[in-house]
Amino acid sequence: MSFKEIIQLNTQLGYFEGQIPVNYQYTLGVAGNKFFETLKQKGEFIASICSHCGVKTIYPLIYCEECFNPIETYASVGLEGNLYSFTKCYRDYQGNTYDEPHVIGLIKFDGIKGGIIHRLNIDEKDLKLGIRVKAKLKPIKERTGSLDDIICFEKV
Amino acid sequence: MGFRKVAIVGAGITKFVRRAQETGPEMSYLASKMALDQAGLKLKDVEMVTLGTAPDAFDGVHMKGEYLLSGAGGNNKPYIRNFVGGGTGVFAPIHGWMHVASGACDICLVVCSEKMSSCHPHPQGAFLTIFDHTTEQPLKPTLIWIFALEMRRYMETYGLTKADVARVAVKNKNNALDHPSAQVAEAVTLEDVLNSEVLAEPVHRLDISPASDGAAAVVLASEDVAKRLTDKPVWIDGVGWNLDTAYWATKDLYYPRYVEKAARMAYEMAGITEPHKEIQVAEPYDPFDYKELHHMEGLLLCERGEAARLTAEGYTARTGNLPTCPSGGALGVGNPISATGLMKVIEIFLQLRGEAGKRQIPGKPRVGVAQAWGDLMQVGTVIVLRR
Amino acid sequence: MKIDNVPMKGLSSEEYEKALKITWKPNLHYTWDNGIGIGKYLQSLKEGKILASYCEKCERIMLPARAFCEMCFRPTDKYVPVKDTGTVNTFAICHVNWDASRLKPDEPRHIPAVIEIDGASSGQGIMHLLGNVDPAKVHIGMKVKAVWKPATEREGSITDILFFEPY
Repeated sequence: MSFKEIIQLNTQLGYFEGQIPVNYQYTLGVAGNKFFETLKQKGEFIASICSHCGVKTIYPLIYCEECFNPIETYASVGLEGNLYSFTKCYRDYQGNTYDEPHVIGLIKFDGIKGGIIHRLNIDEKDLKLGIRVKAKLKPIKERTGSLDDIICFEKV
Repeated sequence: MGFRKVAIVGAGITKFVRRAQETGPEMSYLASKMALDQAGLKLKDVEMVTLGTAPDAFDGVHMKGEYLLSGAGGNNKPYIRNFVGGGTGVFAPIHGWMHVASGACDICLVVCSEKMSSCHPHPQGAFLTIFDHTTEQPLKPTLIWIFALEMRRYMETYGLTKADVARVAVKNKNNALDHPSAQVAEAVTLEDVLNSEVLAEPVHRLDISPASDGAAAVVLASEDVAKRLTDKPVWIDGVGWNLDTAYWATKDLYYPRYVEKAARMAYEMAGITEPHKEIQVAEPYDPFDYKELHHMEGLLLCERGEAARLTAEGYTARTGNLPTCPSGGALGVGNPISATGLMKVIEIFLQLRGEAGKRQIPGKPRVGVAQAWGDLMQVGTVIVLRR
Repeated sequence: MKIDNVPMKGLSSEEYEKALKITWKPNLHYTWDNGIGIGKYLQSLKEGKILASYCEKCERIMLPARAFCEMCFRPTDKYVPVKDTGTVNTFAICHVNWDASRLKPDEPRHIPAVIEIDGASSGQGIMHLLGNVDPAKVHIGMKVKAVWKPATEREGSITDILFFEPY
């Protein structure tokens, strides 16, 4: 069964514009706070370590996803990891073209579950899966405890 | 009716606070772990997980169910989110009940989590788009409008005064002084409530529950498993849910007919024919104080228009004939939307087991009802528990 | 099993200010298709009229106009104009904005109301604002009439009606 009256001319089709005008402030959580405070103050990454099953995770968590026990141990993993995968993006999330393509990578750390996604500053000829990369950080005075404290990852 | 028996065998809950440092997944973990520990179970024993959480717009995380998953024990499990506005907190255990009652699994973890503090300038703003975007939003409505409109209609229909309604806030905020999770428990008096700031006539600030962050969880088990895990299983005897039209201005607001329909569905399943006599403890949803009265009537716990008089007579106090919101309700404990409903279910669970501590009502109650409500005066979700 | 101690402490406003946070202002901008029913409703508002839907089977005249009757689930039989007068079913006098900020003392109070529109079936109301009225005089049962924007300013929106005033 269809509607008895519909709008026939598509010039008469109407729409209404509006917004969802709220904005957000996200706390980083207990584990997230530790990670970014450490990045800000000490300039290194930390992973959480489950004392029951030994699983290590970046970004750190206060609970183990595998065995569901609480986690209270964290350990430094420095700033070096392995390039697990990468891509070259030409448009931003709104569909606008970047002035210069952004190269993004997923970096994993030895023996640790999870990883960090960030910008890569690596020559195209060197971009290969598995290469060793290192985070380049802002100087301590400019760090705020956020992902932007990392400028990019570079080839070691 | 062909459903298997299902019991609640463990519960967990965080403190309800205005702003938590913990993220949604972290809060979910704290509540879930507590529930599993209480039930004597490990994560690997959990076969399925259902998570209830209200609009993504509160936490500001799209696909919130997936975001909360790991903290709710959902990794690599049949995990699904449910959402029915403010009714979510009581619908989540109903959803979990379906998982077990159908025979799909024996142990289901039910989690509810809300982090409203992420939403700025105020979580209330996220409700702007609950209204119809074309026919209502351009008027710039606030959430308080709907409540104030409904409250006035209810009060005028029965000739109630503000004091009649404010007594509920007094009762619940005082009751909450004994609840470990309470965010806004306070020994308020009737004068305090009536003198508090008027936000939208007839609603005063102390008539309203706060925005909150918090999480809660329960473990559900089939009959055989429940009897092995605890000597005090609390059975889910009846479930009901009902939604009404989104054209909310086209029905009379003085009575929540959708709550009655949901209640009848649950009572029929539970074999309850005289709820006002058979229900011994009730936790109706109380985001605003008049809602407790509104919902008591919708739950058929008293005649229409009588709830205020009964409250004034002490009928709903912890020592009264039908203790209502002995937990302190949303008004006293806090209102992290979905977690609030589950907090109420947990309260009935504890009351029926005689484990509600200082909040314990006398008389060894055996049958209780919890109810949640939400959206544009639309949804009623009801659960009947029995020892 | 007792629940005496529960985990988690909240942050005070000072602790919250100091805590690390990420802020984000989403660009959530929408264009919602009006659809058939609301499309006709808004078109008639632009013309200075209120349009309702009529269902022959249920004998209901419904507002706002919609493409189908949600009770018997049949498509709308026809669209009919109704009056722009009505009766106040309920109202509120509001001192806060949508974002919970308070109105300034000299700003007029917002008076939202549910108005049962004359000509529609009993109980069929719409939400709108009341104006040109002393808040203390508003009461349930008050008769009100729509005050429209001038024809040249109407755009096909619920705000083509500025407010309802008593008459």
